[in-house]
Amino acid sequence: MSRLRRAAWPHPEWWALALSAVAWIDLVAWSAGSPGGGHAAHANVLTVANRWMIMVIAMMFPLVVGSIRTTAERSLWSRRHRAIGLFLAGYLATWLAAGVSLQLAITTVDMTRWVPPSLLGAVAFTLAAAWQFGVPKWRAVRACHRAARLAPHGWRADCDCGRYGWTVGRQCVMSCGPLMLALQLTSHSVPLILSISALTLFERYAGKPMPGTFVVPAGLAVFYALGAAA
Amino acid sequence: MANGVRTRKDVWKLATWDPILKWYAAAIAEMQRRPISDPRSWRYQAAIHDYVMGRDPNEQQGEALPGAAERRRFWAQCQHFSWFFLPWHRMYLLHFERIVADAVVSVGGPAGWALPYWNYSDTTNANARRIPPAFREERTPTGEPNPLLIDLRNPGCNIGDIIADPDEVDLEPALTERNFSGPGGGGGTGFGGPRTGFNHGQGQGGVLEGTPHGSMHVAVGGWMGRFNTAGLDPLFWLHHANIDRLWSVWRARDAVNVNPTDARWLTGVRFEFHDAAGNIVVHTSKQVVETTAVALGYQYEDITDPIGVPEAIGVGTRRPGMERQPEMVGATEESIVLAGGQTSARIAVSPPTGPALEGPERAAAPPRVYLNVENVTGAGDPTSYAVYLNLPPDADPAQYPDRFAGIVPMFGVAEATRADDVHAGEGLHYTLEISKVVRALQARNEWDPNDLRVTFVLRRRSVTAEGPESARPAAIDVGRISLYFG
Repeated sequence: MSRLRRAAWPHPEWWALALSAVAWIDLVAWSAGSPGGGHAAHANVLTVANRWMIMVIAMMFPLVVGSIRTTAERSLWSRRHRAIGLFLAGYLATWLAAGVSLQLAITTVDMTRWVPPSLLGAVAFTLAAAWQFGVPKWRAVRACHRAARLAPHGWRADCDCGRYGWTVGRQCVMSCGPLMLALQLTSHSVPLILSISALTLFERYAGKPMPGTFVVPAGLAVFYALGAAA
Repeated sequence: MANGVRTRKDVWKLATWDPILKWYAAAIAEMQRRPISDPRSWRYQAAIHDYVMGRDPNEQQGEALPGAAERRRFWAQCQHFSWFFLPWHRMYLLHFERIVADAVVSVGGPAGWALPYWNYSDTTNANARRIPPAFREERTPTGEPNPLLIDLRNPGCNIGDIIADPDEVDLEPALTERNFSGPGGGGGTGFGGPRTGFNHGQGQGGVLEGTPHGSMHVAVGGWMGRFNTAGLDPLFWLHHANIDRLWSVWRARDAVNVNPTDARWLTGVRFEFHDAAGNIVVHTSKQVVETTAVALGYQYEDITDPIGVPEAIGVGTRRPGMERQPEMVGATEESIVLAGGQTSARIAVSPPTGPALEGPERAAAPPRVYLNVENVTGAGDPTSYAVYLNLPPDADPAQYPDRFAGIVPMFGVAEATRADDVHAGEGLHYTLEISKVVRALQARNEWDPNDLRVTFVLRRRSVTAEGPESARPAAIDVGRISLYFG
């Protein structure tokens, strides 16, 4: 038995994090290759959906490590990675549905009619920062940590894993969706994406989650947004 | 008080109205006169543990609560189902004790008051499992209404009945656990609880947190049965002083019983309280590991080991530091409902295929076996269930003590069921080590991995303030029962 395999036992989420790392590389490379070219309002749906999902994999997978691990721990050993795959499929399905819905809304309602394009990012980030202080946001953060019952065998186990991913995904959309949307509406600058990722990681893993803790990071996000929009 | 170190005494070794209890009652009366917005008031202190708007039994119309930001920062902070369970409650008691001591002086009492503890597990005291007399008297020695008496407790509590069975206060499972924390995830949770971040009320608790901590909360019942009202019963503080004492007992009984050295536990989370002057103080676990340190300055009258010589470490016994990767080997397909009486469920156990099968440590000791009771949700009266393995149908559980797996006390189930900005709503999660029971069944050829029967027997039901008692206890939903090797 290899030492490496034993080291991976308590970290069944390793391959989800590896996928996240690959997505980050793609995200950085794409951002570097298309400065200022990521405005969702003017891109085609498939391109935007593709960028959206890569951004979700890069930024959101590290936030659901606990739920991925729970899925593995609550599954028979032989099913652990299958269970994780189904969980992630359900999780991504929620984000895809949210992304497609938002893109349709954006293309249907041309927001630049009301908000000057140069201020679109700042407005979106200000609204996202305001969302940080609302009770629904914090209910969603708490619910992101919820562990679900999973059947042990067969199609019931498969369905439960997929449903668990969908449920956690729904809470994550509630919690982080406004920030992700703000990112989607602005150019995908690497410093901006990194700062938002740092904010969400801090929010998930540092200390006690509660409204009011994030004045500085939210302000930072607005600062970056203004910088990006300038 | 010697060398500035206060001694917390055994309440059952004090006279009914020993000065310690007389001044405790007087100080509570003084704290109850303070408005809830005062951090040194009785109700504010209870709210630090938990507070639910609209469910405060002492709520007064038009009273001013602290602002929302202050409530979020200081109220509903209790750490449960976490390795912070013990250090957080130690900090909580420390400042409560100082606030009471200050109130004692303010009403004319002596300085240096120390919180007594209630050792309900004392097998040398026939009264240990009764509520101490001062907490049942209608009046204080001066003829005042007794603030130590709370009407809303379980039947029998306030008339001096024995309120708990020996297995509800049994210290053997907790004190023989040699790891402070465990990996969780279905495996061992350790003496003090699994590794978590700030965790107010969800997940799986350590062994001590289940029994006797949770079981005694439900045994007293009433306000003690709920997170949000527990601190309103003066007994709560003596109960937690005993839990805090047991942490000292655990550490003193065996040199291998050590606190975590992980920085995430020592300094990773900061907790805020108010001191006796009403000033904000911040603590980390690292600051409260030694009770006799200058900053804490207390000790317990008795921390001798109630169990005896620690068992030798060898094949089949608990070994410190051995954190094995838990492996799930079976679970129920459906959730089950506990509605009183007896309820059974079956688990088909699959042969292990992962860590439980391989690894060099397997040669040193057989795997430990854990029964997990997951996603326990419900509202209404908190209850306790005793759990048995392979109990024959319609059998009297009392005749099968060797099949007893443990107590599942539902302290906090209502809070853990609620989904809000401080609770996830996933319910409670219990992990019972059943290695001994399984080996006993195996020795008698009564262990069939394809047919493990788990039976829940209603042991106790707590009264609550929410309406008259119904004929049957509120239904509890158990999401899943699972078996792990670890």
